[in-house]
Amino acid sequence: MAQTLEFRGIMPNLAVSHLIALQGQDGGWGPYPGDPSRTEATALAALALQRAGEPAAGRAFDWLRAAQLDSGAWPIAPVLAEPGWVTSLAVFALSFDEPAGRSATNGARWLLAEEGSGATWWVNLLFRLFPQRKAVELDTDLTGWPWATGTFSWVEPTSYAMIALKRLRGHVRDARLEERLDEGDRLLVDRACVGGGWNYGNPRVLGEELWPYPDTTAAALLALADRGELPPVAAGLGVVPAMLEENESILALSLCGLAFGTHGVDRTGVIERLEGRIEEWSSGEVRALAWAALALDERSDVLGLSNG
Amino acid sequence: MADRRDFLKLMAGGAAAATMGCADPDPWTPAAVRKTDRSAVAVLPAPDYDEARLVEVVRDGIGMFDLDVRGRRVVLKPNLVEFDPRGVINTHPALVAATVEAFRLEGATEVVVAEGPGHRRDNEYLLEASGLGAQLRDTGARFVDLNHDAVRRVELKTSFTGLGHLYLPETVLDAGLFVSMPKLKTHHWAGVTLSMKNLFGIVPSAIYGWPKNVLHWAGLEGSILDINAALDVPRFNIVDGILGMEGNGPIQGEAREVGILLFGEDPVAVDATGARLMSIDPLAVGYLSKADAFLGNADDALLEQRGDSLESHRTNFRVLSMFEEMKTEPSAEPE
Repeated sequence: MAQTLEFRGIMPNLAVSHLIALQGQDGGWGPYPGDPSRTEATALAALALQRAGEPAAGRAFDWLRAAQLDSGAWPIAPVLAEPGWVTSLAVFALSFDEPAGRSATNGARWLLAEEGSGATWWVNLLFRLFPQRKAVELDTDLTGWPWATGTFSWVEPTSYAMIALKRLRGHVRDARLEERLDEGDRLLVDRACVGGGWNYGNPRVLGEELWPYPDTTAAALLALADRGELPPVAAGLGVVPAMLEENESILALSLCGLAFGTHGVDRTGVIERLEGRIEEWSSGEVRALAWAALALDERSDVLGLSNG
Repeated sequence: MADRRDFLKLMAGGAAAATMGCADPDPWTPAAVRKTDRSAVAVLPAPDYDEARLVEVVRDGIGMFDLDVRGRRVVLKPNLVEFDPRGVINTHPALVAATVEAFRLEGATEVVVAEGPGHRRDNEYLLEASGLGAQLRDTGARFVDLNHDAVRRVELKTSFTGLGHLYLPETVLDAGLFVSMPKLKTHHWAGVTLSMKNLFGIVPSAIYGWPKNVLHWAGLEGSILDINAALDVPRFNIVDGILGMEGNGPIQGEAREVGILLFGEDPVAVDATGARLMSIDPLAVGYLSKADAFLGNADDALLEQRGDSLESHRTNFRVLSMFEEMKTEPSAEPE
């Protein structure tokens, strides 16, 4: 939704001031300015404002707590009332507000029970009969996290779940935690593109290599912040500059800046480009703006992931 | 050794058994039936992407049908799934811009461009890299991100997937006219991707995942049928066949020049004609064959051809070897 924005004035982090100006009466944010509040945008904006020390974060966390389902999960939007992948982002945001609180830990327990599904029995049977027809070269036995309950595991939801759970390591006592994180690490390694980086989760289809995306690469790199020894981490970090030569979206620059900072890679150039772009913020995507606010924070490890 | 046809039959049979049960011969309700006695399609020559010329071609195409868009909000749904600077993945931005202009000239109150990209979540990049963002700024048309649009629950009239219902975007459900604008392409799972498959982009990924994961999980062909049967709004279809994609479509195939735009109200008829333009038998394409039973007309005996003859533009598209049986003539070797 296009609209004219009236900002409260120039602040050091322009993205933060944009977010504050866009906060809804209910304390949340929709995907685009003026939209009804949804979980993804609100969780990311809450996180960004919390890290910026903005009091407006309080109302955002209140929105998140009120939107949580009895199961511990969050819906995509309150009107949908079904648990969704956005639970990871809500838990991650709350890990900075009240990491030992019921809201964050109940959300983490839901995440631990949420599993991506493998191929169904008949698909496995068919691929045994017709091995040449197996179009993708993935280890379908590895379990990560799906976008939608009951479906396959993909890079981005797996990365977000791992980020949230790694942040809550000291606060959730559950025997499944380390096992699931370890399998998540292995899934991300399995899904890495041949030349480095990640796309949505298919490195090859029908034998042909697919290319990585900056935003999903950065998400996976954040999830593997404590696994710098894994070869796909170095490969992913290595391929980011080339990707950013062709892509200077606010989302790509922000997430890659965060990934660089988390892994101790010089992010100066990326952040300078982002500062230039945020002044002409035009995409209108609130989640991109929230990631930008985090990336523009002077702390390189603003997401608190470097030590797992 | 079992072949591709056996494989696909087993896949389809497995999916059907898993989702429908074996006792249900017709997985659609009477409300889903839209098949008419005859359907019209129009093929018009369009040699290139010159925008001014395309406005005239699109107006000519619209004029061959009984469409009155005066006072209506028209929603254009191009194919914008991914970007590859070397490829021809997406509906060309110049055609989208020309269509915006054409419907405005026909009296539409607003023309909106809407898409829920299937692979990428970075819309800013997709819009700018593809050139669509610049075209939209030039035309002043609004872009709606269908992956994050407000949704309403729609009960399915068919049970090919067993999903039961879908949440669909209000921008689409409230359209005065919904125009599917696919690229003329082969597809490495479905055989062809045209007006009907293009509707995957109206299913919001925020709910169903990228790359439209729930739909692939539920079955590609069944999902195409369920979505198309569920969308109960006035519809029109304009296929970008100026440059199509052959081989390993819909992402990694090669450009193939055909030089046409294809128009029609019946998506089954349009897609069947698109398949024939690629020298593919539409009734060998699983979802088109099924759609022909209740949703529209794929049988060429029931199609009224307007504009140029199909045969004058028919092109021998190369397909992956596993789809060779769908061809009406053997694929040409790559040049």
